[in-house]
Amino acid sequence: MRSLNSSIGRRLCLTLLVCLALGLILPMGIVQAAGNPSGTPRNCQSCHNDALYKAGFQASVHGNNTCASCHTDITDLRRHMTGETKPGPVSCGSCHRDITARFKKDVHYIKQNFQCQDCHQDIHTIRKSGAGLKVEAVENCSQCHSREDYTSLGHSGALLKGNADAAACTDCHGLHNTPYYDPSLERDRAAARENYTRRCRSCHADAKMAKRNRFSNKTVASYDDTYHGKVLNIGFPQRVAGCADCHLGHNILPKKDLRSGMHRDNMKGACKTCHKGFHNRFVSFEAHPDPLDPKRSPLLYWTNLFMIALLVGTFAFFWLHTILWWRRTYCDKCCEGKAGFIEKTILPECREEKQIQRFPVRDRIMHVLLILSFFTLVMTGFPIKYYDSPWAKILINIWGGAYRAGIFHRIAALVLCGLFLYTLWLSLQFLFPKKQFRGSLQRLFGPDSLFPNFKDLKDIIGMFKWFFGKGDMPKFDRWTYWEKFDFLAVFWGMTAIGGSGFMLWFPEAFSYLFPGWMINVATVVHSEEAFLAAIFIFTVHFFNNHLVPNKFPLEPNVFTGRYRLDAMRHERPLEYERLVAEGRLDAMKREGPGFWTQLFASAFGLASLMLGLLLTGLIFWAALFY
Amino acid sequence: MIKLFIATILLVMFITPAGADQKPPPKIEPRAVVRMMDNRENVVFINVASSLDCMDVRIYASLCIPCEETGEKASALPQDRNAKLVFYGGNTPVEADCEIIREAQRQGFANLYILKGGLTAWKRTGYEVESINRIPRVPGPALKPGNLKRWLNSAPGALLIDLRSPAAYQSNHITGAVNMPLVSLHRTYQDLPWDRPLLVIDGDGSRSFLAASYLRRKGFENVRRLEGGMSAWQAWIKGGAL
Repeated sequence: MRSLNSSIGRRLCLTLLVCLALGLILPMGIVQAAGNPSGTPRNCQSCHNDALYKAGFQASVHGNNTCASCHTDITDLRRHMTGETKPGPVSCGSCHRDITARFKKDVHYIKQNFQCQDCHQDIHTIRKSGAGLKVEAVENCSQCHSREDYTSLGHSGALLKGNADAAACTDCHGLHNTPYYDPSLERDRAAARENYTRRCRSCHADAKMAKRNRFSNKTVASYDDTYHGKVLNIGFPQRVAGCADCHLGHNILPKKDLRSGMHRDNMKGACKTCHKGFHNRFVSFEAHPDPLDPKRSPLLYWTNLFMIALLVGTFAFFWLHTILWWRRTYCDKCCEGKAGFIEKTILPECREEKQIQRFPVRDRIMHVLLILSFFTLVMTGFPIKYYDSPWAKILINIWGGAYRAGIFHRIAALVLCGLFLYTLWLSLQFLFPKKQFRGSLQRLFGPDSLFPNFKDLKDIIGMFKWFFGKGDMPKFDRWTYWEKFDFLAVFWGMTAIGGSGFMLWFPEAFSYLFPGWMINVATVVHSEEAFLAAIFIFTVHFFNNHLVPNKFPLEPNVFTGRYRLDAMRHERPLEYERLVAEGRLDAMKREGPGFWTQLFASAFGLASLMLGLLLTGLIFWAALFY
Repeated sequence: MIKLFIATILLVMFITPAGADQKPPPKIEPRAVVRMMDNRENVVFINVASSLDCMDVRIYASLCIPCEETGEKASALPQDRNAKLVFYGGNTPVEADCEIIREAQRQGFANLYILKGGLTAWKRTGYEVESINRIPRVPGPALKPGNLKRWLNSAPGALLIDLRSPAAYQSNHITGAVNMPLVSLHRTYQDLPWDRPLLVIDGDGSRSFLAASYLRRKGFENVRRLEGGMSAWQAWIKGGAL
């Protein structure tokens, strides 16, 4: 019994001691915790004890942090527990520095004063979504940006249906760095256009993605071939359409769908934002033309084919002609040099001879204007044609941007048109002097005419025989067949390049005459004909008139207006004989050109030649490697 | 003759609008203001947007004096008449005829400026701001102008709330909308019906989110906003833009 009592007594004592110990230790623990600023979750959960903070936080992506990792201003737990202090806003940027820095430029911050927790409202339970970041982004954004407008259509709609390739909101608008663009500022509008077009390009130029999703991988390349694409790509998106200007943002749907921005009725609205006063057929313009697809755009296909054939045919003939001529002339000079002959033209007595008038002042001024306008056209147009070549941007910036280059291009075009019309007028005056129609045929095919005749055909054959040593060089009259080609090519060139140029200049007005897709045809004609004209002038014309070995480096008579009698006898013997026979030669004799005329002819002529050759190099560089 | 002269003078004084000779303050870039502050000049920022806006976010130590509440708060202007007062709004530009600017001119402040681009430009330049009583944003759907009619059919009791100024409301508004300017929303929200769907409409869609969040925080559950505000509505009416 005693032992039982003593046992009970010991247990009682032990229990009392334990209670005493607990009574002392527990408050000490809480006080210690209150003094501990680290605020481990377990301590905080003794008050914040609902599921959100218990299970939810532990499983969240922030579960390894303590509460005080974020709530850094809770430094005195006792004051916090008694409600004397309340936690301030959390600075997510103390860990997520990069995101915070980017978010400072985000439209949600700048315009709406959003903070992290406005989107991440479930910050205590946030965890990685099984559905993937893209779907999560769409779900999150569409809480505010209405679901019916943004997720039932196009990219986001496809994404929610399971297509992981489809773009989420963040793929186009960025995550935490959705840029802010002020629509009232041209600079911002341009930046927006450039940005969103680049975003579209990142997927639509991806061949593998295109194949997986069965959309055309030519979409981007074909846009780049249009004026819109070229000007945007060269860095001046201010006044051209980017992807979202026509595709209107979010309603990316088949063309036949009434809600699609690509529906014929809706396209008018998109075009109207930039183009005014066009006919309804204007919208048939192909923003993504494919000149290699005969089924889709037959006329564009055949026009492209014709222009390529014209290029190949013209250059094949004239480059062969040039090479053979150079070879023959060079060989002759070598042979003469070896034999000890000295050119007659350098003999002093020849220098003293009077010179022959070949071009009047009017023609010389016209040629100078022609050169200036032609170079302006080439240097303002080709940077747009070869927008992705390294020199294009430098050249376009020298002009002051694509818009100013366009103004210079149009001014030069008007000068060239004026020259062309004046030449047409002079030609008519030549054919019908004083409105006399009699004898016009003789004048048309006569020796002073630039119109080809049967002798020219014989001269071509004779020239090729001479190239191969099968005969003498043909005797030419006032105009050679290559000079006639140069002259007549301008008539074709001006019709093609001028007509297409005016169509591209005034596309809205031309829509009352032609369907919109004719602008695509005009683009091909203008572009290819420009290449033909520029390269023909800078290679064939330059060689025939200046770089051929017996004239190298410059034949200045188109600037001085006159040339030596011995040169005339050598180059145009038939004209010389005709003038002698008609007794007109003496009347055409002039003094040699003055100092300033010679200086201008040499400086301007050589500068033009060098510029032309430089541009040829740049054009070939771009054509072959870009 | 003297009577005629006096009458003419009085007539001229009567028909000449007060302050007509006062030029609007020049606009100043955010960087230029910061340079002035770096030079230890006495710069005082005055936020002329609504109180909700100003308490939500403002440039550090700004005074909150909405244009429409100048009468009540004009005494808050600093004592130092040489202080440089920089006026700015939220997302909309400050009008030169804002009453607090006129009041400052009347009180003899010589150095008045309007912050070019307002708070948006300030933040865009990268300068910090503060929130005194920020309204936490509450996610909620927006309504595009093209969907308004359909939504009204599905919510026949809906109330359209035009948050713009009475003058802007008078010039044009959506049929059926009531004017409840944002500047006084913190006082007038209690007049709104608690049981009807609400659609808040502002000028350009930049303030309706704040207003919608404020109303939701106050207990209004069914609040939507018109995306793009009246600008988007007018564009839609004009061109039927999608």
